[in-house]
Amino acid sequence: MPAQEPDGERKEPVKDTYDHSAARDADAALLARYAAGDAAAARLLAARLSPRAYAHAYRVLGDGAEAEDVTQEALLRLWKQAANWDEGRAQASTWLYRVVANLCTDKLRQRRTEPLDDIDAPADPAPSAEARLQDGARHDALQAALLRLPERQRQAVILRHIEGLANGEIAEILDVGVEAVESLTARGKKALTADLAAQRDALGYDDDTA
Amino acid sequence: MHWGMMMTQRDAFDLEAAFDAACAAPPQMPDGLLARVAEDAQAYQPQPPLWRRIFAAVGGAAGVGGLVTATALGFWFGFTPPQTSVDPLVLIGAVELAAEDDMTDVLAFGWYSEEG
Repeated sequence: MPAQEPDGERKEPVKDTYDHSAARDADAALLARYAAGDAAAARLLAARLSPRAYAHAYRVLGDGAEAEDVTQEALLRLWKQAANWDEGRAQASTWLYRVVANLCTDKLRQRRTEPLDDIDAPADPAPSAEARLQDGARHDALQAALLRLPERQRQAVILRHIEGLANGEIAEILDVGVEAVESLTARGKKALTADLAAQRDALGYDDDTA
Repeated sequence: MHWGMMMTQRDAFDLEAAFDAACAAPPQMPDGLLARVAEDAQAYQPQPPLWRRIFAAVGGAAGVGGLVTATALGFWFGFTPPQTSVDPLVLIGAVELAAEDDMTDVLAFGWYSEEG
């Protein structure tokens, strides 16, 4: 299966910097080796899957400590499932994204008892400070705008336009139909565009330089 | 105020560029997280069955093949030993085949030869 299915939507540029199909095959092979007791496979799987889980959790939550918790918990669930893994049921990375997305939703629900200001402000804990500096001003602005999106739109936009997943896979991860994913990403992009334009206008941020 | 002007193709392009930048610079995992995840992986890893561990310990399929060959050969020699015994010392050129009788002291089988 090609990495990016058309999904019957309007054509738009989608990043394809990662060979998802080959990655899935490699993940499946490693998971089988892990379940068979191969110690090297355990280390390789951890190294392959953790960064993806952490990146998604961090972008959705905007908080390094929470993203760390989510990553460790999601992978712990994968290790526990490995012995009974049904390869035909789900791809390991899709399954993991789904667990991460659900754990992020739980974290965001927990926050709802906190004041809204705390949710809107992008958290900037110590572990993420260095990464933020590396990403540059445009990325910071995007991250801040992502955190202002409604949660489902945020998850869909991140999975589609930053992680580069196909709509069908995102539908599986978010447990919705493909049309709902298209709607979520379209509304999310529209809101982001307006938000970033407003920020640039307010801060005099010139977006042409990066 | 200038929403009509701002919502132009240029803005859409800028968003794509921002996605590209985010894609190129994923959030970096904090120190120690990968090690903790790997520890969990090993702690919850299913143990392979005993036969598979032995199989791996002797070198997998190649090791097992070698063991089977050596065992079969040894079994065969046990039943039908070669008519002319193969002396490893002769093979490496340490002694002459004809001098076997002179080697009884060295080989420590003299008692057998003398009695026989």
